[in-house]
Amino acid sequence: MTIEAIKTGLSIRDISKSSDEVNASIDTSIESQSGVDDNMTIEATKTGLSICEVSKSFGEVKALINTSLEIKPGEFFTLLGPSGCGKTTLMRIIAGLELADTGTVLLSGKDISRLPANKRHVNTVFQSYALFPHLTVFENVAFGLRSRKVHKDEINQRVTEALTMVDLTGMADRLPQQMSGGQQQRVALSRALVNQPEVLLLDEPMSALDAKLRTQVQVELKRLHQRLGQTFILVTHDQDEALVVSDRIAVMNHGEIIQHGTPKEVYERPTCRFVAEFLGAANLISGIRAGNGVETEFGALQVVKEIPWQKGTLAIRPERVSIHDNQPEVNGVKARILDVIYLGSNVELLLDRGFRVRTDTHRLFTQGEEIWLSFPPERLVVLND
Amino acid sequence: MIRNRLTVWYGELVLRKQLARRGSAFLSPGILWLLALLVLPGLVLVVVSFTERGAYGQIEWLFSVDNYKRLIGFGMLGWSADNLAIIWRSIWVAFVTTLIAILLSYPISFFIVNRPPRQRFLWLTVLIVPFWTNMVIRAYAWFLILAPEMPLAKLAVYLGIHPANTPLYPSSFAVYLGMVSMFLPFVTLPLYSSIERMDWSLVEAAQDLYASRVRVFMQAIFPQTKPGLTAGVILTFVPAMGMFVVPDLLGGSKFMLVGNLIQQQFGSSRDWPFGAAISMGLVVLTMISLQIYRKKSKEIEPI
Repeated sequence: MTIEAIKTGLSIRDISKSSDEVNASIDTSIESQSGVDDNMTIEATKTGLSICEVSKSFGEVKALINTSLEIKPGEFFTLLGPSGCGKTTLMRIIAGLELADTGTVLLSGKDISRLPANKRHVNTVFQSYALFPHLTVFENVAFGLRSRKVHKDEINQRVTEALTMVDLTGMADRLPQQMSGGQQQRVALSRALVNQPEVLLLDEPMSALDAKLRTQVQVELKRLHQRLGQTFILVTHDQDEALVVSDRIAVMNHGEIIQHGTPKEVYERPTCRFVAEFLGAANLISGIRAGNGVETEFGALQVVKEIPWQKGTLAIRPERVSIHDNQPEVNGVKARILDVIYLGSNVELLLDRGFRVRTDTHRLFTQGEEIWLSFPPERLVVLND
Repeated sequence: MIRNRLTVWYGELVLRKQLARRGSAFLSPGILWLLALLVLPGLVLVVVSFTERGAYGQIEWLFSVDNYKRLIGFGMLGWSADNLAIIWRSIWVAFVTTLIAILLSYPISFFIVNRPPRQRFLWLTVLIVPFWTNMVIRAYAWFLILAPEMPLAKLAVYLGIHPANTPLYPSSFAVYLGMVSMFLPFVTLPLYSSIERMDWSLVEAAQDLYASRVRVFMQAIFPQTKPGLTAGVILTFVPAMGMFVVPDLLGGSKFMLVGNLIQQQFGSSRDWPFGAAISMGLVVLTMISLQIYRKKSKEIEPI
């Protein structure tokens, strides 16, 4: 997909709501202003998507435990976590493909918890794409519009625009099985987007693509989102993907949201071991509080943030550790190099105390060599657990 | 060069010639069987259909198309619609039987697919159990069920649609009942195997794309079940066209189908040439019907 295609593909008309919808949203905003002091927060819940205390069990297995979440309109939000963490369940509850045991889902202020999937203005890009094999690309994309009995001319126009948007102009008459995985994925994307949903759900859409194509599609997806300004919710287990595309990320584990924030927040300031380890590599150092520092097996380490515990863990990213030839002034630790892994753009050192250090230094490292490390206090993250 | 004559066949190193010889050795018994017992008798039937019946029921080798003229109604006493009516009724009965079997099979298949895997086997067995009994015995069993003392007949009397103290057979109702119960598993089993392998994410995608229930069925379920359905339709419609035991026993003398007519010619009437002509007619009709099915099932419009 080229930038030109995005630019020409979608006009402003597509994103603007119909006049009825606009009136309705004006009505609700007037209602919310009358008699409510803190109307900023109300405004936030009245638009966008709010998930309030949603729980879901499958037999004995608790897939989601009292999960609450606010997703702002126009946001690219990612649910990130390992398989079985409940992210897909949460997505399916939003789509109406699963019924929550308790809790509510509000879309633009309306409770959609008990609304069937075919009445929700939410569309999904399925992991398997779920394209109709007996229908052409055009008919696949037109499916939602035909369901809603949109006029023929408008269908033609909107499907053509949607196919242009994902750079599939000449492929309208093909059948899904005549296309590559990447093309099928774009059909699935335009099939969902052509309906101009209030929320677009993406269920691990890149998992079937090869690594190179994946990074390319991620960037395209991000651009498309910026262009359309619609709410995107992505479900993925790939932390790199989450960091690349998202405005905000919610990290999930065992049916709960552990932490959410911007990609930078969750990467740089993880609040717990799980988040620190799940998003890229992390060196974990356990210790006991000693005044404003932490007493560890490597000696006393200074930290910037307040320490909420007596005994706990510090974390530091491998690329945040600095390497010195002589003993540094603060937080210095001596370590022996066990292995040097060449990664192309940088070098990863595996050290004798279980540390991993990543550096782009051009210096030559040899196995068995002793070096000084320092953990900059502002880079040492104090975990809550 | 021996290398050119060698090939690897799924991991086995063999000579090409050897492989071909082995293939034909395995195939020939089946081909001979079909040739001797299906193709040759079929060809004989074609020839016989153009001959004449002798005074004592023997075949007179005088070739004409008289049997086919008779089949479409031109008899010694002028034209009559009797034979054509029988043919039309056969097509109609086979069609209705297939349709009812399809309508019953969808819910049954979905029901069985939704059982836990262990129970599925049990339900499939229940479906097949009647086939462990002879077809004639099963038809006689219907006599018992349709007898005047039984609940079904009593219900019909109570509803005022049937006179008291008479069995529910012979009647077209009894024929359909017998036919559908005879052919139901032939539709249900292939349909079940299609539904079992169905990709449910297509159903979810259709729901997600605002489809109504009818549209979900037509676009997401029906296309996926079509292979099984086609197998079921062929397995039901073709034998139902030629069925004679069930209509004979449950339909009485008035409810004659092509199958009965053919049986009569080869049996009591001793008119093999005419029987052969009717058989040919049946073969042609079956092929035409299947061709129509093939075309129609392709043309189904999206809803």
